[in-house]
Amino acid sequence: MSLSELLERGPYGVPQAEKERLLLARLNQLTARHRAGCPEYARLLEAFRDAGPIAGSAAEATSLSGVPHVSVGLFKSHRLTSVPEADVFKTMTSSGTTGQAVSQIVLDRDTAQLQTLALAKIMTHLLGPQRLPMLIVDTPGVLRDRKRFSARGAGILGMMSFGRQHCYLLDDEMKLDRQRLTAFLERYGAEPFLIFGFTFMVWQYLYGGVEDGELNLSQATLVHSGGWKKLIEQAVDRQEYRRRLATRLGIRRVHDFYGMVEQVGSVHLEGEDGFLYPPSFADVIVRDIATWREAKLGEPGVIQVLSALPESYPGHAILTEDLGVVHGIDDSSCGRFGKRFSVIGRVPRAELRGCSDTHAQSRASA
Amino acid sequence: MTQSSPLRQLVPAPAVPLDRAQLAEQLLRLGRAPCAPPFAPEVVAFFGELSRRLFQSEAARQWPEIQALAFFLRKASLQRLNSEFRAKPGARAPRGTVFHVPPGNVETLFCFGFALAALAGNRNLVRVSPRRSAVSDVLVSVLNDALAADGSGLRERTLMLEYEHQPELTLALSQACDVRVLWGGDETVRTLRQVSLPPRAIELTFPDRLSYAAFATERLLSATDAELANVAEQLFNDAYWFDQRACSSPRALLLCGTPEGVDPAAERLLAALASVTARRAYRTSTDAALAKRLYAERLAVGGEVTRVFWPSNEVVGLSVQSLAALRHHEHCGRGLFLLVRLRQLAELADLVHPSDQTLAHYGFGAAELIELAGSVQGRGLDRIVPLGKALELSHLWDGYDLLESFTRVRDVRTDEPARAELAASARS
Repeated sequence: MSLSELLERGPYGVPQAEKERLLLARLNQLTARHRAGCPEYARLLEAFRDAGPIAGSAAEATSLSGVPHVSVGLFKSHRLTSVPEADVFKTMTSSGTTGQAVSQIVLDRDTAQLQTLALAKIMTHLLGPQRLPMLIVDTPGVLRDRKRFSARGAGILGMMSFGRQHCYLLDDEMKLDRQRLTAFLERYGAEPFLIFGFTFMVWQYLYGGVEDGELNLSQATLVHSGGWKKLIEQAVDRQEYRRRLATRLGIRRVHDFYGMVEQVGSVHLEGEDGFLYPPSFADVIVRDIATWREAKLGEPGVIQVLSALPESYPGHAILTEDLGVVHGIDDSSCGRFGKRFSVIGRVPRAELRGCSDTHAQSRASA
Repeated sequence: MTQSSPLRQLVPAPAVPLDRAQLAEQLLRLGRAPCAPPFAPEVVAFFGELSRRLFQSEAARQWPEIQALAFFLRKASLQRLNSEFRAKPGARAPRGTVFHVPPGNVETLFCFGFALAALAGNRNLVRVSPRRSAVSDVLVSVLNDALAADGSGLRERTLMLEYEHQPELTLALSQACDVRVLWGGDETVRTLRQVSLPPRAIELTFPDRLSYAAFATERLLSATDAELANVAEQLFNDAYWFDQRACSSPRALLLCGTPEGVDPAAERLLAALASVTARRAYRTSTDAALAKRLYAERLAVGGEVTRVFWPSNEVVGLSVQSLAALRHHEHCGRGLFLLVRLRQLAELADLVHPSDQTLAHYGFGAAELIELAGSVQGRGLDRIVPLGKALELSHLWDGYDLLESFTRVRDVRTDEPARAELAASARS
């Protein structure tokens, strides 16, 4: 069965042509499954059947770009499920800033297990089979309030199973707890350990909380995720980020990742070369913004993500609101097969001129 | 909390900030300027001149919306308005000071409302949103130039202010007026209406309105390519100005004819429209395209949309079960059309809603249209106009005759039985 093959071959061990063959078979199965199990999804496929490249084909797809895909925003307005309610194991939600709608992702046991297994494949490939001592650049409070379970909390919870002796570095005021950090480093700093945190928070609170050369974190592997917007505003790009973390903290293994609650487990991890790589059971397609066909290598477009995992909800092919570019295929300098891509950022929001401006202030840009 | 948000005078020039004391002074000054008689020759001449400047200005020329305003204000058009006005029974006088709160989506409306009220002889107080656009900037600039050269007294009767909405400012301006005109949809009307008016003042409101266009599918199918291209041009003008966000912008296309003809007619029309958008270089941004897609998906998931037509990002058609979808879901505009099928135009009479404003039509006979107008009877659709004229400016708007609304009717009689009316000399 194509899914188990994809999972067993190692996250970056399948050359693209073969991967596409295996993935396509699995995705076509998933399309059929969701069409049969989710009436809303079936209606959507029917309505889009003749709409062209923006929709993918209603009949069986002959290429990955033909697999029908849905907008990521659809999960914010509709709770889509392909399994009976009795089989629902968990509904994941993710809230960003307050006021935003929440995505609802319905998991049955199988999908939840697949996601856990998949993430483990990716992380053990990076970190080795043992759980490593783990620093979390966040406050213990982030997991406390389960009602408002944020994207930050979800990321941390997911990563925690790859670490042990979890140590939260920030206090409730988001200040670096230097004592805890030094204590941790005394005990575990001489051997490999793991640091996890949101991209901006690592910069602001860890990097920003110590002086150059004060502390030695050279045994760390830093895994981070989250937007770069605030960093770009401070003129800190990816290279600068790595350079400064190396200079000040001695951290040389830095791995960004791109992922979303709508496709948990299908995490696109940054390689040593600074590019993002889909794992063998997932892929990305960058779509041209005018024609919606697959963009050429090097050309930017809207990112669509594919995942072999979602069995309980129609999330196997999702059009995001992010721009990105695929730079190469099977040509990685760090030994990984598959597409080599980067994320440019969110699609810019054009200002919509409404007829009324009686709100005191216009909506602040996210 | 006073003096919190800045207030700027934009017209007449120069643009200067005003504190509350200065505002009070300006309002007093405005109030003391005498009104003009309706359609005073100097005022009519001013707007004719403004029209000429708008046609000539290079900055203004790139905006078809501004050209439409200039067209409305041209001499021949104003002469016709004048004749119509004179034909009204009763003596007429201006009401005094008109306070306009124009909408944010149709930037030419502030000038349109101002012009009609000024032609009626009134003083004008106009609020301009700080969320400025190129169109309103051009209009303010040309208007100021024209006023600087004007000797009719209009400059003294005009004050345009830029500020963020604040109850205390709305109140101050409302207390100074005899007519308050609220554009901007339900939200604006609801909010600003709460601010009290002096007992003598009246109010005109323009709440949320919806518009659509109807086509006889037989005519679409039998049209030559040239004819169809022309239809598409007319539809483009109606739909794509103001990014399809004006209340007169057609957001649904009603396709009337036999069931088998509807989809082919829709395909033909939408493809022709896509050609026009390409030729006119109208581009939909990526986030707008994604928004349209998400809108389509949401309606498809709920079963309301049965088919998606997507010839290009700029032209998206969604076949819906009924016109109701237009009312329930906020339309994202920028080139998105709900496609409704009807066997005959007459069926529309049962579907009309009081918030429906304009029906643009193509391919129907006069009898059919008159029958529709009759059966609708004021339950909506105050404007039934040919395709291409949806955004045409007119003093007849949303059920108002604005020249009527901006003037008072007077009953002035002498003892002489032969004289039925006196020309009104209005010194308010």
